Amino acid sequence: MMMRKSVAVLIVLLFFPGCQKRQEERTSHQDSPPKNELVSLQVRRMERPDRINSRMLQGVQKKAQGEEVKDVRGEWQSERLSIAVLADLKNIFDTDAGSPRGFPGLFRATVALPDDLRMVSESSSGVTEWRSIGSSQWIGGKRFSESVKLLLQRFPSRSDIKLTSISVATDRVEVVLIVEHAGEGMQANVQWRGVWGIKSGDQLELLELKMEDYVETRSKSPVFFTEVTEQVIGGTPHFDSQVKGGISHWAGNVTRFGDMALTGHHGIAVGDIDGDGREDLFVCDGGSLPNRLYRQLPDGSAEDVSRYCGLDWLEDSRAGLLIDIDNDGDQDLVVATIAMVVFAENDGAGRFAIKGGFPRAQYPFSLCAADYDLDGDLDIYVCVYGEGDANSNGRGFAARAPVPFEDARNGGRNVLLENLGGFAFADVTDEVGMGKNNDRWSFAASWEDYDLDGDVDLYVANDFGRNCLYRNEGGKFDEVGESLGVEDIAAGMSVSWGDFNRDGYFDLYVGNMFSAAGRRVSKQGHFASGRSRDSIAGLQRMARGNSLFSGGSGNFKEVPDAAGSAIARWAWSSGFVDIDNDGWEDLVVANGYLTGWTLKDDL
Amino acid sequence: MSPSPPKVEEGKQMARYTDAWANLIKEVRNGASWSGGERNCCFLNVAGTRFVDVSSLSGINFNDDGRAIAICDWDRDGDQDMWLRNRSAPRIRLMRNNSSGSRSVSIRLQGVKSNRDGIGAVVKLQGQVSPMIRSVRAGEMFLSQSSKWLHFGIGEIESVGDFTVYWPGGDVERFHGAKAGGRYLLRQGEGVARIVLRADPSEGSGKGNSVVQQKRQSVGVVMPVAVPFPRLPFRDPAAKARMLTGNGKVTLLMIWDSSSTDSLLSLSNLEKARERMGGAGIRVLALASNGVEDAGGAYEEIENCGFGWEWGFIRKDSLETLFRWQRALFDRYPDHDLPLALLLNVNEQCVAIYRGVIMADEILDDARELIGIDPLARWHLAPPIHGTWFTNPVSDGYVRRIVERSLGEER
Repeated sequence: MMMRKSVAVLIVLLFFPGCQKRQEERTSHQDSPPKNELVSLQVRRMERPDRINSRMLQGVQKKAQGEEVKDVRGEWQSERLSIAVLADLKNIFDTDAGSPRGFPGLFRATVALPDDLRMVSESSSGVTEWRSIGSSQWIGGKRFSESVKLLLQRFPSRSDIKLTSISVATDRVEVVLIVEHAGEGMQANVQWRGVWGIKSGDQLELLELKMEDYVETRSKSPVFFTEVTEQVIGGTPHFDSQVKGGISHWAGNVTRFGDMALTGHHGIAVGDIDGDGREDLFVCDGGSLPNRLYRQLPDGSAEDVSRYCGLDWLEDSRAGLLIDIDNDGDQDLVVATIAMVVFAENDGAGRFAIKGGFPRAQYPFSLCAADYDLDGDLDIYVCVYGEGDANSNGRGFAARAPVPFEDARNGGRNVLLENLGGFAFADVTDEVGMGKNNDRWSFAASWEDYDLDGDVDLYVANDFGRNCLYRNEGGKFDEVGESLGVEDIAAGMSVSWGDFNRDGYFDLYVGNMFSAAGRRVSKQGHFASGRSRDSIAGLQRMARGNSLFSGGSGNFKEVPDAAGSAIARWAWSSGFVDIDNDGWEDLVVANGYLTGWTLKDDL
Repeated sequence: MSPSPPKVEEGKQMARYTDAWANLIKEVRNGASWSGGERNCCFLNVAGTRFVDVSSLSGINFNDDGRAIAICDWDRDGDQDMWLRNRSAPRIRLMRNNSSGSRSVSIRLQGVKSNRDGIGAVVKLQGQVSPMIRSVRAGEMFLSQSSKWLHFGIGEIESVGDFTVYWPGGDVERFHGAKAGGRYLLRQGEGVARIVLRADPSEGSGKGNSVVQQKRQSVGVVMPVAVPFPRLPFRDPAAKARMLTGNGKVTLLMIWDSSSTDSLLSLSNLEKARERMGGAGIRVLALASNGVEDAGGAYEEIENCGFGWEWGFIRKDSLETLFRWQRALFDRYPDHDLPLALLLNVNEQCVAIYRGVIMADEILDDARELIGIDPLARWHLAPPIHGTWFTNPVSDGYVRRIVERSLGEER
């Protein structure tokens, strides 16, 4: 399609994440096509060397000294007790703790390594699953120590302990915990119920540990995946600086005025940018660090062509999509930068030219594209997280906090951009019915024809409360999240469609935050006192973990405990993928929020 | 943490709640972990009934701060590899899948009536026991786009039947001819799966990996905008109260401490370059953070290295102000290590910050490059790695507001 030249020239002068203040200067006539809402952009290049040298690289990995951090957990007795309980458990189960200590006479437990394991499943890739419900027979401290020793010999690599619930009575504390053990070619997830006596103040004494569930998996091959990052991009010029430097480093060495933020929300996109049949990788990065395009070479390694291809933009970039916007057979690029959503055209050989930007989607997160109106070209949905605060020009939670926490309606306005052809786009969000419930804190969205009626529907995952499902009816949308039971009140981060049970209908896996501390605190009796029961139930769901909805003929059923995949930690990308070629879609989850650099405990 | 009010409103509860968020963010900026060090998870599907945790067996269970996942068959060997994008270092990982690839079929769609990428199309393979459906998507999970190649693992099934494509708009089309282990293009309207060759003959381009020759020495943090610096009181060596002003000169302000080796090295470096720096019109002011009780150490070191530049003592409250000013500039609060040096232009605005041993050559380079340039040039010079901007720098007014607010704020 031919590019329309009559785009009004708007020069965007000013963008900034802290303020997003924007001044537009109209330097041309107003006779542009009424619906095109892109502004034209000029890329400026300046020849100059990197400011990186060996001295600076030494600092990239440097662990910094921290300041005193206030322990915010002290307000909850249950949290103080949790810390004491965890310390006891570490003494028992930590692989670094050496042999477990002896226990006083009062202590009793069930055996730590069951001898009645039975195989309950075997995958075609050779993974076997073994289970036990544990023994009902009590043993004393000495025998328990011996059996823990056997357990840790079997799983010497690591053990992670999670306390998922705690209830506190006047004289005792009862907890549920999960210990994940790792060894060579095998792992075990063990659930225990433990009881501690409260002696005086917050002084605890372990009384009882009972195994409730034991699941062991064994694999014939050592691992499914092997890391090959160094082999593939280790030779690119900025590997040692940009790839090996974490955001904690950069956020202390690049200013906020250069748009560098600590949270590190930068995405990736796979696509074949030059039509050579090999996948390439586009990588978003924070402000003042250029985006990267890695082009795959015949030997599987990749070269960094960001500069050559014209994509080494320094704007803080959240998400990118490689898609054929103009249906000419190559992969164009859409990038959600903090200032605006930018569109670039591929010349067919993998070089890109910016065609314009949509400025009214500031502070965006995920992007997803599909042809919602079946006119043959791809339209784009942009998630916009927070709206910011117009008074202070501020962004982020300090400027505007989500309210109420479990059902926040003061988030950003997501945008559906209809493709008008010729790299022109129009905001049609409200006229197609997507304005409904469009005030939540959206992290991610994904299109799928869940009702198999020939057009794509859209699921949107929102932080701080309810998610949305927009059902497509001939190019108009109904928000049916509530009526189909997929609102999934939680801290939604991720959307993935797949058919895990192979019944021919798409299922929905929603990535949510799991927080053991959140689960503990929100179940305490005096938690959120004064709130309605619904409100408290909502708050309790906020730390629940991932959700799975099994699709049927136009409806969904929630699968309890996400069929074993709920506890996936502070989950970001969570999605279906068949990792072992058996035709059944498995799940992978990228997680963890912010690893600090002081030696203080987690918040 | 204070609970959120039930709705957005003015008042005490809202203020407490907003403060709680602000405090949480401060803790994090100060280095606290917030659900940090968590390991990626992987769950294996047990014949569609449930998932079993195989995180430790998967090889992907790094304790990175993970964000995005892009799935693709990078090496085209018939299984699903994975790019991981992290907040923490390493920022990217490529995970190669070790499965046996003959047990799969890869499908790429090409729309003719429908969009060329075939996005939104659903492809069905009627398996021996149950159907397998996949669809072409652009954008899913969190900040991620996976491959448009569809992957059908076929397990132990020997033969692969027809593929049914449900094109966007409702057209249904059957394609035959696909076999296990192959890669195929299904073009709308053709009905036959076209083989896509695995080995591709094209050569490397030689256009990549271009990098501008590195010649800089500086490890300073260059400001993308000139940042106003407050006038601070200090004492000169004769204990006379003075005010930190630029005196109309480009000034390198260095805060040092006689107990830090890096400080002493820096003093000596600056002293050795006194003639060159003076010739370049640069004034150096070295303020010791030593308090009254250990002021003697500062005099001693100044004498030891024959320091001929201006020097003096910075007051404790002024040092606090300086650190607060620095905190306003970074999303991660910098450490309070000394020495710390600021290059100030004649308008008493900071154009660069230096940490660690101060090298005179770096300062001279930067003074040449960063003093007296226009805002757009500064915007381009600041990033640590070269690239291109299509937006302009923030306004001076905005910078001033942020700095003023930080100076008025309590820690």
